[in-house]
Parts: sequence; structure tokens; C-alpha cells
Amino acid sequence: MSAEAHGGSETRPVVLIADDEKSQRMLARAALELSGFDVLEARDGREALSKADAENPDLILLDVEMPELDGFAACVRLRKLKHLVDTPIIVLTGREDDESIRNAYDSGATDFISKPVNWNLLGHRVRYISRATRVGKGLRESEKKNRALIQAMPDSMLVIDKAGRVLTQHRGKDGSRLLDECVSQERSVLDALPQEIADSWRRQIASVLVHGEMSQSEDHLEDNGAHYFYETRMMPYTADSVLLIQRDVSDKKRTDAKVRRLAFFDTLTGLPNRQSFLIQVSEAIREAKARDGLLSILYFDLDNFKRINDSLGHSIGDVLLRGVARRLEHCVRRDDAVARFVSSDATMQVARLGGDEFTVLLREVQSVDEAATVAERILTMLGKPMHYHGQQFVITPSVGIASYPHDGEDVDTLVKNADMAMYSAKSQGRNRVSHFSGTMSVRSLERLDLEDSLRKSIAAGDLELHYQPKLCLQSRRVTGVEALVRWTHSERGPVSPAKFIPIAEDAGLIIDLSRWVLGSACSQLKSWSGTDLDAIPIAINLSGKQFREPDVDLQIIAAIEANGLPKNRLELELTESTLMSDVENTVQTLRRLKDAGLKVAVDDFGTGYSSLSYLKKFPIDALKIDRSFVSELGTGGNDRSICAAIIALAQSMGLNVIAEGVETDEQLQHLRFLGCDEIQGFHFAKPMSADDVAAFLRSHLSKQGKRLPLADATPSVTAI
Amino acid sequence: MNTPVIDPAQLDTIRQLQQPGSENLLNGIIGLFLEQSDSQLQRLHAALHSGSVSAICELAHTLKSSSANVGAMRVSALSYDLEQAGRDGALSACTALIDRLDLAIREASGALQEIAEAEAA
Repeated sequence: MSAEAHGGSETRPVVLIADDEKSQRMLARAALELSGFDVLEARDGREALSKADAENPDLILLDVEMPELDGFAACVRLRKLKHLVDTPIIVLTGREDDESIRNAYDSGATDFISKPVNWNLLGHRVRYISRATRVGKGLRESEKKNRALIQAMPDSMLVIDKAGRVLTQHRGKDGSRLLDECVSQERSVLDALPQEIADSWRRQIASVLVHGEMSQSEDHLEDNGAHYFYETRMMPYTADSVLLIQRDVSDKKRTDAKVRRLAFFDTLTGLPNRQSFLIQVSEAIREAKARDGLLSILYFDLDNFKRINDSLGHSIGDVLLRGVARRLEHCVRRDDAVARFVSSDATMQVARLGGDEFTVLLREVQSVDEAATVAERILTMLGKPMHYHGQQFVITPSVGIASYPHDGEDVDTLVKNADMAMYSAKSQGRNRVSHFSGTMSVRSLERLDLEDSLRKSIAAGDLELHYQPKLCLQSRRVTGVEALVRWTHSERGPVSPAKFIPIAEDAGLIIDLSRWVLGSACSQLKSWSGTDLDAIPIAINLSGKQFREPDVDLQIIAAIEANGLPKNRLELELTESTLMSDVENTVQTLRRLKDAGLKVAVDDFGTGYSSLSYLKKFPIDALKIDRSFVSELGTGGNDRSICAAIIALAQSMGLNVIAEGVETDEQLQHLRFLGCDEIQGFHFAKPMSADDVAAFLRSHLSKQGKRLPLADATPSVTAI
Repeated sequence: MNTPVIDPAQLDTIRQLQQPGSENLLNGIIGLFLEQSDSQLQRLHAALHSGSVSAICELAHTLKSSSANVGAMRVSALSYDLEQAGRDGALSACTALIDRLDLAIREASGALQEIAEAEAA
């Protein structure tokens, strides 16, 4: 015989035998050792206690009748030792002794063996009892673990019978309003639940009991306006009861809803966002395709919004955006005036794509005209003044329309074309509706390509400055040069500034471009300094955007100083509209520049809306007559008198006057006659590269036979 | 009496518990009985003489199992009867039983002596 459960290298289980009769101990030892146990012996109850405490045996055999401490008393005391609580204890009782057997169990014995002991069977008995104890212990441990698991679970558990009566229950960590209510009322949960849930559960219970498979449902409970959501799982428990596990998923539901809101709605206005809009459009396209119907996208952009946002701050900008959102929502409501213009089947959905871009999706419109009518109406509604904190704002949108299937059959194309149509509306003068047309996309693509190339060229400094000399008519000397930016596209060749400057302005590249010009002009001046061209000033054109940068004067002065140049070597040219857009700030900025020693000329004079009273306020040095007036000189008409008026005005204000675009000798003679100070144009010199202009200036200089005059001396000599 | 002095089945049981290489278990058990029974008998007579019923019960109880272990079934049976008589306080019954026990132990000891010698051979 050998111990079946304890073979191999495992340590043999230890049995303690306590008996005062030595032959009993000897036989027990022999029998147990044969069965694979190690044996400890004790001669009486007291020794049994101390050995058991010290050695922690796996099983204890106690004779009842022992001196000192009898078997029952020893058993009671052994059970009080913590590590022996679960140890099997077998009491050896006298034969036919019911009382002993009862006493044995009462004192905590696991089992008894009556004497005389059948030694051949002792090993089997002990092994069986020790295995049963181990199994029992394992069960107790596993139950304990299960209890811990169940305690830790957020879920509530119930065992219910067919009729929904609760047999056992465990309230989960998170509890369950639904179940608390049922269980506390001590009746069938099916009676306590709202009808709808009760019906669903009744069906589930029946199905689980019949098919023996798990069933799952989601239950929704409304209580005083609060919403609770539960995930309920039922599985067969016994033949006629069901285990029900319920989890409160209310928080998860709320989080899901919030995530959804964040993902699909614009937080500022609460309107559906770009994401939802694209989904709506793709659904609408599917629908329209199925019905052979039409749909239109109205793409709105607020013309003057960016300026309002920049000048008045984001908080006002946000208020206006919300205002626009509310108006749009109002417009698409069925009972609104706008809705009257659409057929009864049509639906309208508003979205905000971001920034100041909004869309209205028109489903099932009858015609493109209908979409246009809606767009016009919305335009009118949005164009009405808005009031905020006593201020009045007027926002004018541009609208582009693209319709399925004419202008695109998929989401991307439709949205892109509506966007293009919107840009076209803007370029046609804003506050208007434009329909997408095929040629738009060719133009737009070309424009996008130019924009992209220009951005790269500016970043790489891949542009060039050309210089056009100005001539003083009286002294016949060169008074300076105007820097003109030139751009050569890698594939298209040279691109006219008239084309790329507006692109730079629209694409937000003009600031970078202007900085590049400023930097390049200063480097050019530096390369001339210390040479015979030391005194030639360069004039640069400042764009309106750059001029309105709050630190424009500091940027310019810093560029000059960085190159170690005198301030008067750089001149600035600004257009009339730049000057007039913000008179107060312009005066201050110009004052600071002038104080620093720079000269300022008003470019393209006569084409904008100059207010003469403002003009007087500006600390400027010169006016440049626009080429359009010069080109007509000598052909009769009004232009001669306009030129005469500008020259007279300049003289009266003490300003230098320069005529641009002088191409013929006849024009030159007129200007000279009228008293114009300086000229610039092909007649005298074309714009030239840096090298060419240097050569030109040197040859001019040598013809004069003397050094070119200092720039700051020139106007004062010739102006009056 | 038909009961054999020593129950051979009990002896076989002990032989079956014998582990190879260990001391002879049967002879150990027999030796223990031979060694103890004599003194226990003397103590029984002394207890009887002093009229100590509890000592009689205790000694009878021990003899009951030690004799059963060596298959001395008559000794064991008489020890059982003696234990009961002692519990009942029947001293005269005890006197008679102890005399019979004395005889039975001598008989059993003789038989066991022979068995042990045969076992050792």
C-alpha cells in the first residue's frame, strides 16, 4: 500500500496518534506508515496538545481514555488552536459506546473509530477522512473566494423563481434602484416592476428556463425625471429558477451621450458639427439617389466676421456666432417664413463646420431655384442687425450652393463645390448667393496650386526684388528706387504681382511676404552702403495687413538697425485705403515712423477715397499719382486736370509729388509743366534686377559727373 | 471453552503490518504484552486488595486493548467483563474475574512465548 494522494517527492502527511497504550501506538504507527503517512506519538492528552501545537500534523488520532487529559478534553483544546481549526481529528472510542461517539462529535472531532481498531483498515480510514477534509477545506476556500468576488462586484444578483419571487439576493456595490424597489416590497419582482420591463422579464425567464441559454436585456427606468439604465442578464440556475445579474449602466450611458455630443455637436453653438454634417449629407445623397430626387447644400461664410473677431475679441465673436446659429435654426423651422418657400417634403438641417462657416442641408428640394430662394431668404434674415450690449452688428454672409446630382454625386465633391461657390460669391462682392458652376473648379484649382507654390516660395525666400529708379525732374538726378517683388513659378514662369499679391492677401501669406520684402530691401541697402550707391534710398510697399500689425513700426526699425543703416535710407509706400481704414492708429504709427526718420509716400493716390481733412492729419512726405491718371495725359479728357489738382494739392500741403507709370516724353512734358517733382516709369527706367539697377545707377552717376545727391536733400530742393 | 487462546487472525493482521527491514512487529507487540501483563496483574490484585474500583477499571481497560492487540481474546473478554464489574462496583464479581484473568493471562503468555520463539526462528 502507498499513499495515493501523496506520492513522489511530496512530503508525507503527518498523523499524530495519542494513546497511553504502547501496543496501540506501535500498531497504529505500523499501519499508518504502510499507508504512506509519517507518524508522531503522544502518550497522553497533554503531550498530544503540545506536539500538535508544535508540529501541526495533518491528522490527529485521539484515544478517549488517557491519563492526564482524556481524548474529549484534548479534542476541545486542540480545536481552540488556530492552525488546527480545520485539522481532521479522529477519536478512538470504546465499542458499542453511543455516548462516547456523541461526546466525540460534541468536542469537535471530525470522525470516530471504535475499538478494537481494525488495523488493516486504519490506513484507508485515515486517508479517506483526510481527503474528505481536504475537499471540504477546498470547498470552503472556494466559497470564500466566491463570496469575495460577489462582494466586490458592482452588479446585483438575484435568484428568482418562475413567478419572479426572490429566492436569494445580493445587492451589488453600486446597488440598483430597480431591484431595491422590488426586493423591499417582498413580492414578485414582476409585480413591482413597470409593466414594460415586467413583460420583457417574464418572456426572458420563460425562455431561459426552456432553452437553458443566457438572455440579456437593457432596461430603462424613469423616476421623477431621472433616467436609469440597467443591463440585465438571466441564466438558468436550477430547473425552475433563474439567476439574474443586473448592472447599473446609467453613468456609462450618460458618458456615452456626452461623448456623442462632443463628437457630433459643436460646443459653441450646439449645432451639429462637420462630422454630423458629412454623415447627414451622405445619408441624404443615398436617399436622393433612391428617389431620383434633388438635394442642395447651402454653404455660408460670414464676410466680415474675422474682422469683428480680431478687433472686438473672441467673446463678442462667440456671441455673434451663437446668434447666427439661432437665426439659422429659426429659419429652418417648419413654421418659419423661410420654410414657406420650400415644398412640403423638403427638410432643412443646419450645421456649423467650424469658424464662421455654416451649412444648411436641403433634402428633397423640388428645384435648384427653390434652394436659391431659401438661400436668399436666409441671407436676408442673417443680414439683419444684431444687438449686443448696446452695440449693433451687421453680419453679411456669402452663400454658395451646390446641388445633387448636377454639381456632384458624392459628399466630398458636393461640399467642395458648395465651398467654391461660396468663395465665388465673396469675390463677386460678398453678401450674395452664388451657384456652383463647372468653370469655378478649374479656376479654383489653379488658384489653389498658385497659393501652394507661393507659400513654398515665400518660406524658401524664393522671390526676387526688382528696383525701379525715380528721377527728379528739376535736378535730373535719381532720387531713389522703388522695390517691386517678383515671383517666378517653377512651371508657369513669371507671375504678375497683380495676380499673386491678392492671392497672398487672401491666403494669409501677405504678412510673411511683406516681411521678406522688408528684410531683402534692407540687405540690399546694406550691400550698397560704403559704395558709391551709399545714398540711394529704397522704397518698399507696405500692405494694409502688415501696416495694421500692432508692432509694425518696431519691426521696420529693427530690420533697419539690424543692417546698421541710417533710418532715412528706407522709404515706405502705403495706399490710400490702408491709410483711411483706421485713421487714429494710422496717425500714431506714422508719427512713430516719421520720428524715427523714415519717409512715407501715399501710393496710387487718387484712386481711393481720400478724405482731404484726414490727409492733412497724416505725417506724410509724398504723394504718388496713380498711373491711370498719368497714362491718359496728352489724350485730352479730365486726367490732365486731375494730375494738376493732385500736384497743386501736394504743393499746398508741402508734400513731394511723384508721377508713376510715365511712359512717353509727352507725358513727361505735361508733368514737368504742371510742376511735378519726380517721375517713375519706363520712359526713364524699367524695374531692374539688383545688379542691373546698380549698373544703371553708376552709369547715370557718371553722366552727371558727380556723386548722387543724398536722398533726404532731394525733396526739399525740388518740392517747392 | 472453544475460543482459542490466541486468535491466529489477529496475529496475521499484525504480520501484514510488518514493514520489510523493520524490527519484527509481532514480536515487539508480544514482548510488550508479556512485559506489561505480569505487572498489571499484580497491580490488579493490589487494587482488589485495597478495594480501589477505579484502579481496577483503568487496569482492566488497558488490558482489554493490549490483549486484543496480541489476539488474546479470552483475556480481552475477561478484561471487558472486569471493567464492567468494576464500573458496577461488584467487588465479589471482580475477585472471581481477576482469578480467571490470572489464569487466562498465564495461558496466553505461554502460548505467545511459543509463537514469538517460532517467529524469531
